[in-house]
Amino acid sequence: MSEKLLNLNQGTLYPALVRLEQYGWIAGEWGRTENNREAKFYAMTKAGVKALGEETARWRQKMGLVERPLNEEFQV
Amino acid sequence: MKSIRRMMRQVRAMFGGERADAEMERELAAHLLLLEDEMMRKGATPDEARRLARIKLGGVEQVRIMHREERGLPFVESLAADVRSGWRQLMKRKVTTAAAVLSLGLAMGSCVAAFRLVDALFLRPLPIAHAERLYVLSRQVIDQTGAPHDSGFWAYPDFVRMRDVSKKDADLIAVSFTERDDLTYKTDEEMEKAYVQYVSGWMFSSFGLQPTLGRLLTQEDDRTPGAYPYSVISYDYWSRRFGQDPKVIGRTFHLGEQVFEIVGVGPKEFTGIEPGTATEIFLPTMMHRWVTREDASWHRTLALVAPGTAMEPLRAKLDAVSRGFETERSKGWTGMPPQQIAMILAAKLLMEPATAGVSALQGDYRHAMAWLGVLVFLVLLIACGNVANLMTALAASRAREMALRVAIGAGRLRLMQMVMVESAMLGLMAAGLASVFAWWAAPMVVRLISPASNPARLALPADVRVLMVGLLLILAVILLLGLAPALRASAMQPTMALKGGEEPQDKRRSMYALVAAQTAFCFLVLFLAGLFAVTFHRLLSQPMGFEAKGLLLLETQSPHGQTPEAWAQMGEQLRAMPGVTDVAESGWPLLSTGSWNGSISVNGGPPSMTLGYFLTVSPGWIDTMKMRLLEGRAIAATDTFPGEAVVNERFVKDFFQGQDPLGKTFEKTGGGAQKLLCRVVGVVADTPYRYLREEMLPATFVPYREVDDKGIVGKESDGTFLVRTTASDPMAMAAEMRRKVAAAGAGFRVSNVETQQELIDNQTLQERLLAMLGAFFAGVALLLAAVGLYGVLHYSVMQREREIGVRIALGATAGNIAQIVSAWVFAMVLLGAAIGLTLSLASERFVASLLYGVKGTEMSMMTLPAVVLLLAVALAAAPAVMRAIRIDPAMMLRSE
Repeated sequence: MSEKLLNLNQGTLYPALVRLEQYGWIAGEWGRTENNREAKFYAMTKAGVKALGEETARWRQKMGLVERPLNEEFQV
Repeated sequence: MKSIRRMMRQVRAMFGGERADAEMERELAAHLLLLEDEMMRKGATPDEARRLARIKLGGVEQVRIMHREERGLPFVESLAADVRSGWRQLMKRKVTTAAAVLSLGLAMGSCVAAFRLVDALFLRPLPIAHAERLYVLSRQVIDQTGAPHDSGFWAYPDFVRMRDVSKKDADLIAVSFTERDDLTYKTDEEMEKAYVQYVSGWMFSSFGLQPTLGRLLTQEDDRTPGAYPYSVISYDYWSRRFGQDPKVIGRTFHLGEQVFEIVGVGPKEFTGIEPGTATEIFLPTMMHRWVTREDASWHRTLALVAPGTAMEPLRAKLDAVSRGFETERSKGWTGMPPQQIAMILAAKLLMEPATAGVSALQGDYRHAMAWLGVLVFLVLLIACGNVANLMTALAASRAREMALRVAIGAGRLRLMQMVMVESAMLGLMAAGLASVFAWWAAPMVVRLISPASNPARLALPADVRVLMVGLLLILAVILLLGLAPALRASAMQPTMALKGGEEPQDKRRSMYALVAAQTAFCFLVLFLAGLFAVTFHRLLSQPMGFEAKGLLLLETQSPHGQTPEAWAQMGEQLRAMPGVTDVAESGWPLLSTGSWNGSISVNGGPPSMTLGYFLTVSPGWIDTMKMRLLEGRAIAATDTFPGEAVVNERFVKDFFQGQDPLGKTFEKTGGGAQKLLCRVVGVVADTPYRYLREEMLPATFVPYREVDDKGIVGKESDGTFLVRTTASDPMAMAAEMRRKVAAAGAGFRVSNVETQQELIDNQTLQERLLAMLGAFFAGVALLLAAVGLYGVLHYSVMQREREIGVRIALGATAGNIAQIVSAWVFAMVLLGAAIGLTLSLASERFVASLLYGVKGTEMSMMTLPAVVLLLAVALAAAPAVMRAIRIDPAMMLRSE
């Protein structure tokens, strides 16, 4: 979690987790931490990996669209 | 893809709520523990760690709520919760709910049933190509009193001329009136009935119809009179009579003197062009016995107008041709008064749209159905007002609950949704009841309006049209019912309601206004129902002049004709049967709508404008009918026509100016040059001749022994035996009589059996329908209005309990309290009744044509609804008033 830039309560993560799980992109599994505490471990599913690839690509494309004019403007 | 998967899981999550909650709790607990561990690793004390962990996570309760909302479908869940709570609310007040559902259901069901009838009879387009371009031709004659008379009957030679001049603009089609005829596939002993219609051969191709089997009639089957013994049967008839046997093609049947071959089966949906009658056998017009006759008008003329044709020039062209035809023909009319000829020639040709087909049933019931629709709609309005009032009262009794909901943060929309859901549930339950009612009621009305011996066959499919009307109705009702209470609930001021303050007065005012409206509608319904009931009663209780009880009628045919003696002998054989007291014979029964008329000329004077009506009867007919002979004697066995005649009182009044007619003579003149001289030998009391509802006609009963100008006695091929029986149900003897006539071997056969009472009943079908449904709706309307009133009063007493308690404590008497509680309502009822009376008087003009022997302005017709209404109001008001009087101030004030 990038705590420096974005300071959110950890609880706000839950709705996102629910949604991702419902999309079938992640799957949770109960397990034990190294301190032998009970915890739920979320891992990406195959569909999740694929979706991440697609979403990343889309994000880059979008960013590129925004970035290009910005760069051009400031490089004059 | 991903959203579909998510939706499925959301739906699933709605049902596994508890397990998912447990899982979430476990996850949150684990998360907190991990955070605490982390804090302790960073050096916090256990207490501090617990606090810091919770800060880090954020509000646990918020997380829980967010988790739940994300997991399921919050809108659906709140809806489901509303449905559950709505159901609980409705069930908590079972009686109110039942009353609301019942009244709404009946009203909505009646509406849909009425729509089904109107749709089937007047709106549904015929299942043919270009039904929207189909017109029907008729002629309108204005009689000497200025009243219009429409005739849809045409003579075929006239039709041919009209068809020739309009070929470019329209396709003219001749279609006979569907008749229920006798025919046989085997021998004469096994006659059966079928609905037969003669149609132009090209009708099928013009209508774009395709055969189910074999071929349809074509233009080639309709060129020369009598040359095409072919028939097409309907799909329905094929299914019922032949079990869809494909070998039906080529089978033959006898109809009258002709043998027809079945060449094809029509398309499934097409049952002819008359809503109310399903034609079973189609024959070419060229096979009709009158196809060459200029003086016989026997078929309808339809016109399939070409697209883009101007109607008026076409109409004018047809009008001119038809008038030319009649003018030529009128040269042969010698026995008719010139004014009458002029009147006939002045007839105007009319073209009216026939998209939904044309039938006698349409004409007969257009007016009645419209009024039925009005009654139904009024009842629906009353029911809606009623339920709206009940809902308002209920909402008021839940004011505190609503206030509490608002106080703990329920939004306006959320409250509206809650109340609307409740209304919708009520509406849907009512709709369920309504569909059952409509499904049952529409066919029942069809049975009511059609005689048992000749049932109307009206297709009443529960299809998309009916469904749409039903849905619109439900939607309208729900909006009407739910919106006002929902808005009111959402505008709740919590402080006001929780303090227990008085409701603002205007809320009660709107309820009072609804009471007035309900009363007005109820009055109108009662008024109309009363008129219809009295009409029916007066029609049935008018003096008939003969006795219908125990009179069985055998319509009998003798294909090759029989002498009067042979008819008399057959009658004697019937008389010998047990249970039979008397037998006579006449051309047709009275009130069978059969008619034979002519102008009357007395003492060689000019032929009369008004017509005299004739009927051939056997000697003894007057006795068998138990008619009253006023003067002279009855017909004797040796009397002939022309020769002797018995006339009725009206005839004496119209043609002999009321003077003693015995021994005097008159001539029957008419279409031909022939004048038939009759001497009056007797006078009988008036009886209805053709229709029960028309005024008494001047009638003459002449001997069935008819002689031509050479004095030779003619043979009769049609007649009706009137059998007077002692049986309580004469119809029970029908089969035996049929056998007897067939076994006599004299060439007679019975084609139809009915009772005189049936004929009378058949003529009161419309009045009976209106009277019965009117009474039904009056009952429903009264019940609804009473329930509504009870609800409103009950509510207003509940609202004012405290005030009334205080008044009683301060010494108000029971009379004072009753007055305080009910004065407003009675004022509203009186106001409503006054409005209702005005509406009634305004509507009276429009129903007049449906009435018989009664006027809406009669005092009793107006006082009766008022009295009934006031009684109902008093009855409905009593419980609430009693409750108010019995309020115990001590109890009341202590409970506060």
